[in-house]
Amino acid sequence: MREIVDVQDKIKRYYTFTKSEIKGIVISVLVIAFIISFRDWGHGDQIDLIAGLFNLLNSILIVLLSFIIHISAQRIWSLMTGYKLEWKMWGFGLMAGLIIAFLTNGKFWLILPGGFVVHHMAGHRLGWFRYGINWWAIGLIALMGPLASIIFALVFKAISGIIINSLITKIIAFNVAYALYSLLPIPPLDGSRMFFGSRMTYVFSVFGIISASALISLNASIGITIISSIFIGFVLWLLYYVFIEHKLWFGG
Amino acid sequence: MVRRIRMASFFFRSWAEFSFFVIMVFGFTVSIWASSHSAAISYIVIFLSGMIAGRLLYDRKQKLTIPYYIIISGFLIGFLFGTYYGSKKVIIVLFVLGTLFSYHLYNKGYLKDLPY
Repeated sequence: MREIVDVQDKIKRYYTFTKSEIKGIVISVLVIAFIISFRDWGHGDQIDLIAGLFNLLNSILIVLLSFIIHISAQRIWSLMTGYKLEWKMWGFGLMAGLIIAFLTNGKFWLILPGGFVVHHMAGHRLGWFRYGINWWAIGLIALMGPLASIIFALVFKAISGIIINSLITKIIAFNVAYALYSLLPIPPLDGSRMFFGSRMTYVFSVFGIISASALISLNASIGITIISSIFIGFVLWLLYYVFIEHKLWFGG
Repeated sequence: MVRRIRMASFFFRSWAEFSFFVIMVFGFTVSIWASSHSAAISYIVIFLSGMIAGRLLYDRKQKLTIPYYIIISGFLIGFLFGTYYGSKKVIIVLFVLGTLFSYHLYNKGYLKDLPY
């Protein structure tokens, strides 16, 4: 109970976004929304401005909601562990995404919005290592983002069993893509932080999330998706340890 | 082993020239791809590429920049080789404008991001 009150207090005091973060999120949301709605501006060579703007607005809402879920999961976890997270956009990734959208006529989404930096709050790390930022903690914070995105996709997958809607389908597709892109071990994406935090955890989470994404795309049931992805992640984690990591640690 | 060390030494000394050729081929490929759509797409792509170049040059502000100018010019040369729709002069102008625009946005602090 005491921990919950502590987390609530930290959220109340430190959750707010800075002006710079809001600017970065707004730019990223607009760019990514444009990328995912690229093909929704009419049929063939005919441009339908009204339909295009409506679809762009829908995409803005989808991306904004997904970003808030992704970043909030990381931010809350970081506050729980005594760090303050600051999200920043990645100019290279956004511009590359736009170029790819134009080159492929919007058929391929490249979603590389940004990453985060953490600020150490020594007073909130009493009882833990509190003499600086450590990679393991950052890796866990990073993991929360893709995990939240894939859980969000699963929630909407469950909803799609009741209501079938193109908006819901797009939310699922976007969140799956966002989770997968976030796992890439390219700085400053979440995957790079996870990779440096712990290779073993990285392997487990990457294969778990990839298999969850594949099963969501194959319309598997929610229960099977969750159990199978954990199982596949565990098996590949074990194989990775036996065939690669074990040799790195002990030679041979 | 000696051969590997020689190769590594060659790469270490000539990484800018090596990157120049790799990026030139990349620029050529991107240009062919963009031109297969229309001249307008080529113009948009080169402007956005210029913005990436501006971000890169801003990142190298107060640091060694000459190799980066060589690499960036490699991309532009490759892109010009691959362009068959659209004016080459417009492409150069848009690339320079994109670079200056992006550099200015970052330099004045209108945009802030994580380089890595």
